[in-house]
Amino acid sequence: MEVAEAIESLKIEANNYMRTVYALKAMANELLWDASAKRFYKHGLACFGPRLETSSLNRISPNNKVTPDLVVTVPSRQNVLVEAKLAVSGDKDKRRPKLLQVQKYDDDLKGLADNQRGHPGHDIVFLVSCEHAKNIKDDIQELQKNGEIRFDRPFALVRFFLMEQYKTWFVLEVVSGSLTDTDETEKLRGPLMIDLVHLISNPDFGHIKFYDAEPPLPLLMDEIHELVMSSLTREQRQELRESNQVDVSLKVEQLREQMAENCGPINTSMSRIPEIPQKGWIGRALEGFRKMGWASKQNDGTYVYHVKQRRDPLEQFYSLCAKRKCRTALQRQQKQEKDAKKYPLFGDQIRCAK
Amino acid sequence: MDIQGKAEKQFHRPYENWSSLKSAADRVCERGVHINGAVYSSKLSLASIQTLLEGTAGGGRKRFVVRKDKFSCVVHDGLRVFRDVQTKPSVILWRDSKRGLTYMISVQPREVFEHICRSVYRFLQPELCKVFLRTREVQGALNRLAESHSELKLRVREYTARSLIADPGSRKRVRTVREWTDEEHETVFQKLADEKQWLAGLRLEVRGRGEAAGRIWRDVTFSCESGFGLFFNSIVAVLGNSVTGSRKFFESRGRLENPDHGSRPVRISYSEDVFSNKKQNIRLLQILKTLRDSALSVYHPNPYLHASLVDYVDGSSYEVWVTNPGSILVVPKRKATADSMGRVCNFICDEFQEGDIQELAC
Repeated sequence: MEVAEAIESLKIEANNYMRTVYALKAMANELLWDASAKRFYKHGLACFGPRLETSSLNRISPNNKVTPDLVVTVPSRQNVLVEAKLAVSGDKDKRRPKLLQVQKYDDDLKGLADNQRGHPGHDIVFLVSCEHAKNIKDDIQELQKNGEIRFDRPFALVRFFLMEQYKTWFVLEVVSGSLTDTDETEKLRGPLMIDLVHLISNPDFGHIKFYDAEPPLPLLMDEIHELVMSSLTREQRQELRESNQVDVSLKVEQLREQMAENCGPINTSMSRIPEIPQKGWIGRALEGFRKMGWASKQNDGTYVYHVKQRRDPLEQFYSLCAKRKCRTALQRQQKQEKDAKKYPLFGDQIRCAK
Repeated sequence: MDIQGKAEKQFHRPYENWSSLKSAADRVCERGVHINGAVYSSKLSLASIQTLLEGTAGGGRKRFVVRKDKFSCVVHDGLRVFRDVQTKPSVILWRDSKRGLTYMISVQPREVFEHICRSVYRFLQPELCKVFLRTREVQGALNRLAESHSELKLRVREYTARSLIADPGSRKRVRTVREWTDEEHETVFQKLADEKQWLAGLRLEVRGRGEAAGRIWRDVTFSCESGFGLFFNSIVAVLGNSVTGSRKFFESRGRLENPDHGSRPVRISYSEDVFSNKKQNIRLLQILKTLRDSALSVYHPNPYLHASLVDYVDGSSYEVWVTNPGSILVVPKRKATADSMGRVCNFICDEFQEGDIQELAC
């Protein structure tokens, strides 16, 4: 794999991640919008990544914790639980187990009703990118026919895509299934076009950059770099201007909290919100900075970030991750070649695995 | 020592009131020495400015020497950058606390004045906020002056403006034009609108009780050639009002200042669909990359544009979006100072194309 090729694939990955975040925001925007009053529902709530508990009767994961990507609650209306899928395999056999997993939300989930002021029951929306929608729709239909998958609650498969028609629109469209609210279902069958500006400028969730899936490293590193720059004191800024570098000490947990406040979901029911971003993600990003020479690790586990006025930081992060990706691919290839030489009888299987 | 040298030596001192400063400035003008000035918006008191300027820079070195009186202070730059300048780069600084304005003036040559202004401004950023006025704001200010002081006659003697080059083969996208004229300001602004030009600077003559002449620029700096008192009380005073208004517009837009309501984005709108040609997305990105002391991260260039801009001067950051062909959206992130936001929006208006900066109404 060439570095340029790896950079391109990372950029696609980052773009897909951001589109998925926008899809969740679009869904929240739509479900919280009171079309008749032409304003948001007064007590509506979009809860990104709430931690819920399954019952003992759950078909997939009994008595366990689950974190759907979004739950929208509006008093006197049915709750809507939204699960988004970022990457779906082109291979049917790899795809299907992931689809079966969605059934874990078809349960009386604890924490949904008591904590979120909504109706106790819920609908399920499975949100997928446009290019995967047809395959997933066919898979679900086939699995339902075979009795391998079933939803006792209203279930809708919704696809999303961005469309250019004078303005840029975020489009949501029900591909199969329906919600309790038939008017809403009809609207989503439309398809529903939302002006991207409404999602960008939303005061409640416009700032959210991450959801309950690890973002591509370059995106996370870029946000950390920005946060560090905006947190410098007057004296540190002055030093940076005069000496071209200032060192800032970063503790993983402290940084995680700041990042969560800055670009993670903020909800009123904080007890049910998972760590977004997670500590592990922050740790990996800081290691990325260390490998680039932008930070150094101290014996006590803290990092010292060497702040400089760097140009094109995101491109540099892409470059770092691409080089690492190429190196890993090369190492894997070398190992497979070595194994093939060592075990000539299994050569074909090793090549197939590759 | 020549006239310039004598003027510098005599003028650059602290003053105890406005009338003594005005008289000294008038005397300097009478001798044919130009007075350069700049207007900033700031909430800092004169004493706080003095304290900050007397502080040490990186490396523990003191940069500025400040002498203060009741009304104003004089700031001398410790660095001798200009060998041929007869005195140290110096500037007189005073406050109009009622309107939240800070003024700097100097009788030194323009390049020396710009140097010390820049140094002092960079030292006091973002608390000292530089404001840029767009064509419409300068026009509005001069209209207000003409309406409120009917005895004053304003004549434009020269103007500098910028406009887009339509030729796609051209390496430059923006041309600068300079016109020498003798017209009423309204006629000049009408011409600018007709020719789709945006204002860079004006040379004006004011006639009323006395006469004055001088230049003003869109970064609210000025150079007075004669009649300092009249020039300051008419032209500079009315521009000062626009500075206060502009600062208020850009204030409190980051998420830190609006914890419950999110950030407050602004829209730069154009009368035509600039971005229907997608090459303009790339042009905008190239221009943003040249903004001094900043870094640009491009997430998506085309067909919609999504980028993130960090201002290294004070750590402000923004998302820049183009989602429709007639406007640019600037969305402040965690921190966005009025100084930084004004600078970023002005940079887009000056280098890309001037548009109307408006509150985003969804």
